[in-house]
Amino acid sequence: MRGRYAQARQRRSLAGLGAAGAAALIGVTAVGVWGAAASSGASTPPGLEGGPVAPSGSAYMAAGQVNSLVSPAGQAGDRTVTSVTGEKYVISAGARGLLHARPAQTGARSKSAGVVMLSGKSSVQVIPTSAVPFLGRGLDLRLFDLAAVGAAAGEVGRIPVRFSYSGSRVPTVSGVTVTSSGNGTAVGYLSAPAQFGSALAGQAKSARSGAKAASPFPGVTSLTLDRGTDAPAPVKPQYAMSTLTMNVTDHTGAPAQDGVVSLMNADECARYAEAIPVIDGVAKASVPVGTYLAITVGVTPPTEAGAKELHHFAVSQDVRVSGEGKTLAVDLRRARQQVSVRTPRPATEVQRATSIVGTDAKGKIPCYSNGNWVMDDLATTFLAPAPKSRVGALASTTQWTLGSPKGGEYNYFLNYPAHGIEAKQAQVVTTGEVATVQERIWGPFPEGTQGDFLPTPTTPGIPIDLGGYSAAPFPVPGATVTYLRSAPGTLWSQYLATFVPDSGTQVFSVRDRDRSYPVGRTTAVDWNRPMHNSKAFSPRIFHNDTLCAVCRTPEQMTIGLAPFGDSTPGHQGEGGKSRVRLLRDGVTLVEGQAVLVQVPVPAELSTYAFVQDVDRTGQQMPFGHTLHSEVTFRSGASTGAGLPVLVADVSLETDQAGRLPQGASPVTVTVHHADGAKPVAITKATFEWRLSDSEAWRSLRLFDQGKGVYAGTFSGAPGLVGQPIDIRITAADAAGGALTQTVLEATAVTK
Amino acid sequence: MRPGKASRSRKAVLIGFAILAGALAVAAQTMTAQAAPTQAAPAQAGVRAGCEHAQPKGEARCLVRWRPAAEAKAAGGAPVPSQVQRQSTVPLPTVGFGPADAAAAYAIDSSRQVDQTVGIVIAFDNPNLEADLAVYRAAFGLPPCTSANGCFRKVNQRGEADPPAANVGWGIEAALDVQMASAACPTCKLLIVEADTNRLGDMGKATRTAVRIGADVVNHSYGADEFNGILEIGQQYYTHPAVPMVAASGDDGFATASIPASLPATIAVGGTSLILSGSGSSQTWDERVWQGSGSGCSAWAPKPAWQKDRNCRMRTIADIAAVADPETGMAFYDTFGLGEDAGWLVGGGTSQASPLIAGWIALAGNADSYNDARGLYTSRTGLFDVIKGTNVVRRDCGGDNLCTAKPGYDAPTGVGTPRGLGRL
Repeated sequence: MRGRYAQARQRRSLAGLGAAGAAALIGVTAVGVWGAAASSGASTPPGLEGGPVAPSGSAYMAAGQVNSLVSPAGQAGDRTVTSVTGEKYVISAGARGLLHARPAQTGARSKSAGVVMLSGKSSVQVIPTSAVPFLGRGLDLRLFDLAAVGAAAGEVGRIPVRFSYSGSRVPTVSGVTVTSSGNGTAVGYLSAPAQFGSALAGQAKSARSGAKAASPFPGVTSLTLDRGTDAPAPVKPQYAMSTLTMNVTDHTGAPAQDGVVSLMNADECARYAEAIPVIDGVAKASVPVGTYLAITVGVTPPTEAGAKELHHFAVSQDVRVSGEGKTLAVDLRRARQQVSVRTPRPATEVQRATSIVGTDAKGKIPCYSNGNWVMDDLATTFLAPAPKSRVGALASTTQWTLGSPKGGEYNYFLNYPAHGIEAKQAQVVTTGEVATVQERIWGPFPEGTQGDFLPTPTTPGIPIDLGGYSAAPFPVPGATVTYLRSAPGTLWSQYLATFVPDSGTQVFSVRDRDRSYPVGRTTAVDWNRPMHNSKAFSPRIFHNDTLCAVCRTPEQMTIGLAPFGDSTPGHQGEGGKSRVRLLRDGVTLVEGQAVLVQVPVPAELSTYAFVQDVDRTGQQMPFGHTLHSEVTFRSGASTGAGLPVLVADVSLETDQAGRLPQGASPVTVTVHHADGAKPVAITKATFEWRLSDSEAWRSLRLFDQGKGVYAGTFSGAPGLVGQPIDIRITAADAAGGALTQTVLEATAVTK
Repeated sequence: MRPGKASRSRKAVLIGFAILAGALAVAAQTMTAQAAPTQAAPAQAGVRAGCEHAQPKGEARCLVRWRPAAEAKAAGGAPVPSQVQRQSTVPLPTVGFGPADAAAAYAIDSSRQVDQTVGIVIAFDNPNLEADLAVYRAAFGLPPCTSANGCFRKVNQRGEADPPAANVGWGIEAALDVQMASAACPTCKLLIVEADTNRLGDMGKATRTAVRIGADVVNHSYGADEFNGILEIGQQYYTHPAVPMVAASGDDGFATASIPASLPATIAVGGTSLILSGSGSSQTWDERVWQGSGSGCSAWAPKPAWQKDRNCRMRTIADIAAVADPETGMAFYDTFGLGEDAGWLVGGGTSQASPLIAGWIALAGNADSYNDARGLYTSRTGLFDVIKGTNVVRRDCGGDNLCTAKPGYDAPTGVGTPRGLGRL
């Protein structure tokens, strides 16, 4: 039974709240990458709509996309690999250790119509769109894993392949030389990768025209990269094993009857990281010689009805295990510090998670943890203080969610990260050390909908944050107060999930970018407040990420707008569809269903246009489901990394149902450029509106307030009551950039 | 799907530990209520495990891996069985190695007539076991082995006829075990002893019963991570002079040693990938380590005198090996509880290798010469040395023979695989 907390935490990671976490968990992040189109009017690559590149415009996929867009050129360890279709790529390690591939030649054009890239920590698949229809239907994905291809090809440079075939004769596969065959299997190598690629493209063309796409090559039932089985194993040091005996004494001084030792090699946890059961006071492990970190927990069951289970944690650091073996005494009587908390306002413990995490000397990523996880105050936890480790690192935290007695009125989210384990575990929260967030959740929502906040802290320098908390739910639309407490410098990523308890149906969710909340002060945050336009992705919009998604290198451009979410900058929502097109000097470079594109571009100065059509029907918004955006800008290698993309924030004083009042109400249009762009003066902004069933746009007079802020007044005449209103915004800058965004049925006038 | 109020009110106090790929992975992976590490067997397309890896302390998991024949065929690359009895009226396999292939690969003369009984210790019941065995044997032209002709006997851990509760996962294991023992030794009798549960105490009692009522060799296609008390369990249940105890070494690659495989008196069986090349008279067999093949250095069992590997001062597993890779696996037949997957399957895991070795030991007729694995180490003859591949799944051994195939002894495949019956 993993419990509600578990599911909530799991959902966050899998859903991509921490995209890196999701990537680490599943080992791969999807990236939408299209090569340059062969000609103008290029269509969406076949097989991609709704596939890995085009996940129905999911902002979460965009999170994954951005995580993998880093292209650190020229780093040590880069290697060049020829793909099975003959293109050369440079593989390098990018953000979070994900592998990244880029064309080896600057400005090189793929012979394929385009490629899809999937980045993992040990793999990077660059899949020509011509191969996509055949994946899993004759073509093995490993063929396109450049890391595997490079390893299989070895120094000889021959890419070994293996294919199965039907019939008695070995079929011919263009570009492949067969070296042996029999029993329906042939083994060989790619003697002419470009020829293989051309054949693949030809078959893809046939498949698009309606021919059956069961396999790209007649008679071949499956084709895969051969594993290069005869390649010698890499030479590594040998690790002699030794026996570590751990004698565990419980909190009474008797041999511990139940417990677990989380044992990791602190030199390099790939050598050893296991959990060893403690039985009758003894745990034993056969381990490579080296230095170890052991995190032991003893579990004592309740002795009487109504009593709590007792968990005692103690850490053994820098345990040196030699070839002669080692006996380690673990005395849980050292664990005397009871974990507890007291808050300024009355609050009851909803859940508590104490975690102790070890990191080895080689990496920055935690290798192993031990901890407990308590719901409804059912266990009492005791910790033994521990200093920093000399080899590797040790970190700990206890995280709490505490709810107001009535439930939903307020929640405390508390985090106590530390290097080592601090002696003081009885926490007393003061008003001055918490950040107060007044959360207002706009509607409408289905009857009975409840909201749940799951903030995730990221603490600088301490690799211990475990993901989100889950709060006591509260009715939405509505308001609640969140109290946040963590170490100085902590960034919080908030996440609002809304659901209907009876059916368990999730209605809508929005997540926030990482941000710090001032301690001792109150911050107001609106959630699900109607958003009237699409905004540019910006740096740090993704959890714990610093990538720019409106940027370019001399040879590559990344651009996307954030169409889902709400009007609060940084909020990203789920649902909806987005179709995008990027043009250079009037010629389409790429088009497809996505929120973000990355495409090779030449260095010279050109005029680009990014066009986006958005359907936000899936969002819990009363208005503004259909958006059309056109952004025009000039860009070249000389204009810098940040693209001068215009962004307009439209502020209307609507009620919680997204409607304007009768009479005068203020309108503010704030125009700026995407983060990272060189400063260019904003020269113009307009605001137009019309009744949705009419053709004629009416201009609203805006007054330039300076610094890109334009203000006006909308007159909600009685005759407009109840009628949907379309809005169109335009803006321009001094460098020739322009923006037009149209929102159909953006609002209405209430009675 | 979001849990409702009911699940929230459920009380939960959980102890957690996990291998972390990154800080946020903790959230998804950390918490488990069981005292077993989260280990991943090597991922192979469509291959399922018969039993979950994580088991409570003192409980065993079966080590069968399998996939439906149709999926194996669709995936391509799987072997095609030879000597299928086309005239038979039973359903016939189209994918996976058969008994004749195994005999050919390991140079075994399986036509020998022996009066030996292979004991199969299993947890829970598979009610279709005998009927499915009949299909398997008919499909491959093996002589019938039934309760009626005295070849097949199935009892509970007390030696009585009442079966324990049925279990689908362990049922797959049972089907694979009896059919692989049949493939290895077509004339052997089969004695299946079904433990009431998968607790090692019950498995041990079933083992003692198997020996008591006539097994000449006993197969154990299951395992559990070592813990305090295993030596006592070994002494109490798994030490039977002149009745070899043959046990699967595990399916998680180089890892914590698995019992009963690591017990002092047990023969631990690792796994290989078996590759057939060429056709007709030019057929050749090749083997390399199956990545999932269990190997490890015991924390409890002392180093036996016959093991000379230098980087493990305690007992090293495995001792010997046979085909275990589900992608190069054996065909077998199981209909119990598998729904639309019922029928011919392709097997794997060291659960497949172990009953093959048990059957060949019985076929060799020297079972009573075994008190432990010592006899396998006396000479290099009669063995194929597996010298390619590694079983690194999650833990690395630094290129040592604990996880890397080498000339001579290596832990993933032991002394090698049988080359005829001479070494057995």
